[in-house]
Amino acid sequence: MTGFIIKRLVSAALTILVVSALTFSIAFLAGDPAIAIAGKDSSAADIARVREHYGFDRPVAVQYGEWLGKALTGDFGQSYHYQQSVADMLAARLPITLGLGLAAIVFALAIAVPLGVAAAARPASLVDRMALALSVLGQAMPTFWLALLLVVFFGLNLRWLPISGNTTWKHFIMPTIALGFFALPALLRITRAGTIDALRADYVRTARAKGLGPAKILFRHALRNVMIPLVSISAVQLGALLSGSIVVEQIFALQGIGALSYDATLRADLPIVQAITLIVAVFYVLLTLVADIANAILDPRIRENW
Amino acid sequence: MSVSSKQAPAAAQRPGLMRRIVSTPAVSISGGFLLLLLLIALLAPLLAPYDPYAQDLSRRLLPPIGYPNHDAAHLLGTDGFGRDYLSRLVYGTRISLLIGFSVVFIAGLIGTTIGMIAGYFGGKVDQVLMFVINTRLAMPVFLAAMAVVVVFGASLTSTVLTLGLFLWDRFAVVVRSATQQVAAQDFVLAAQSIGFSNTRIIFKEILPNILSVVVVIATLEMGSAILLEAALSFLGFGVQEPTASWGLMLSQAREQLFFDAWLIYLPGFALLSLVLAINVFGDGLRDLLGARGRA
Repeated sequence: MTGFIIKRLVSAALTILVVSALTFSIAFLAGDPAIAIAGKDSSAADIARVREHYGFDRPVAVQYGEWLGKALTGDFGQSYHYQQSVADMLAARLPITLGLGLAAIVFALAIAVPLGVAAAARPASLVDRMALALSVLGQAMPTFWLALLLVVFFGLNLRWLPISGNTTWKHFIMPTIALGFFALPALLRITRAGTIDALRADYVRTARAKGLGPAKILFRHALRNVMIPLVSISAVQLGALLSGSIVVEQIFALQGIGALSYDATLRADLPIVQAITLIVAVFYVLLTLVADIANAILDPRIRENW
Repeated sequence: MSVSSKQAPAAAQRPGLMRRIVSTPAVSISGGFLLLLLLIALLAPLLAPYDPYAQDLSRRLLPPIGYPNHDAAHLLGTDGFGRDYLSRLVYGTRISLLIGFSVVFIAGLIGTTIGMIAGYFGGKVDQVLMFVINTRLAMPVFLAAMAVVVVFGASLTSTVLTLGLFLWDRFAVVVRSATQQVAAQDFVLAAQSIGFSNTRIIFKEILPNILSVVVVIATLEMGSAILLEAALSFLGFGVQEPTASWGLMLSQAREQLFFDAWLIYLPGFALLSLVLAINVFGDGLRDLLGARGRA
């Protein structure tokens, strides 16, 4: 077990190292970063001053080492455009994105779990078909189009909900629905498939033989079996939601991390783009690491494959 | 046993698969719809009533049929530049399918190669390639695409290349395990014992047997590629004006959201139905081919 954990940790650390090197190299693919900061029309002396100020005149390996070392302590440098600490800017915007992401996951789970269990209880029934239709629709639905439709119907036509900003909880309803719908299909499929598997298992047959009612079997025994994959998929989905959050935050003018990465891309503000990319990658690596170790503890067969 | 005989049953089952496609409503309907969209894309110049790029600022934002003030000359109205909306929708089919096919071609080539090599050689090679796959999975596609925009600028080419260089992970993972299964079978062992080269075994013995798996993943990945392009173009980081991309049309329609909300309905609906058809077709194909595997 210890051997497995060590191997897994080494592989996770290596992955982060490679991803960080790729992320860092973006700045140098973009041409001379000193010119980008000083502006294209600056004099050679100004560019040289910027180069010295930011340390771009040193060897790339040294700069990478320094960048990574600082990033590991939570220092992502200064934004080219805003001249503020990237870490501070991210921290200020994190609550909005995290709150939106969590709300979207909760919304998706609130539909996926009851519907998935109901569909699994009666395969090929009307409920099952509806669940299938919903997951197929959710997978093909462009998140930004759903967001626009919500704006038109609930914001402009019915005037029930505010269409932009983040001052009240009402501002988060439509973004949550749009983003939650994006997370729904995966959660719905895993709940349904996991419950069907569990209902075929021996311990459910035993429970039935004992004379337990169908509701008790479903929620006490079958659903418990689905919890583990559901939690790990939810965690991984939370990372994926940040990508969806870029479009949603932009449409609803929520000032979260997604809107910041959009803004930073427009302004070619590389330190911000790099920091967000690296954080999302590290987040994903850590989540899969935790999930793998948890699964290995629960299921010894996984350990042997390493 | 002759080494090549294993291809015979696959060839014999070809018409059987076709017949099963026709007799499975979900697959035949979605497949027929996709064929129709493919024809629309190919025949766009013949089908579009107007030049999709011709602007006429005196005839901008004409509403589509069924709305008051509809102009019979433009069945689906005109956009904010006075361009015929139907013509732009027809040409948008081209962009979505072009993106879908080219991204899947690049990603399929990379992913299938990596998956076959990892699955066939195993051991250290497999460990290294699995690390490459895991590293790729840790890179957020959408953010990476945005970083590429910062570096190289937004265009159709950079969108296709970025998505193609990123969406190969599922090909690699599934092809790897399919290759592991095929590589353990007798005809591969026979080919090895005769002394065929690894290259020959991979291309002549393994590839034909995993091709159906590749086709299924290609179909499903095409849907995500099309949605990603639309989202990137919607943000202004994908296909650029004046090209008629559905994502870009939605981005422009958004500016008119308060007064001409109808502009957002059709490009989004076109996008939804294309991806829906692709996914239903891919799912159905997987079930049909999976059934053949069990038989």
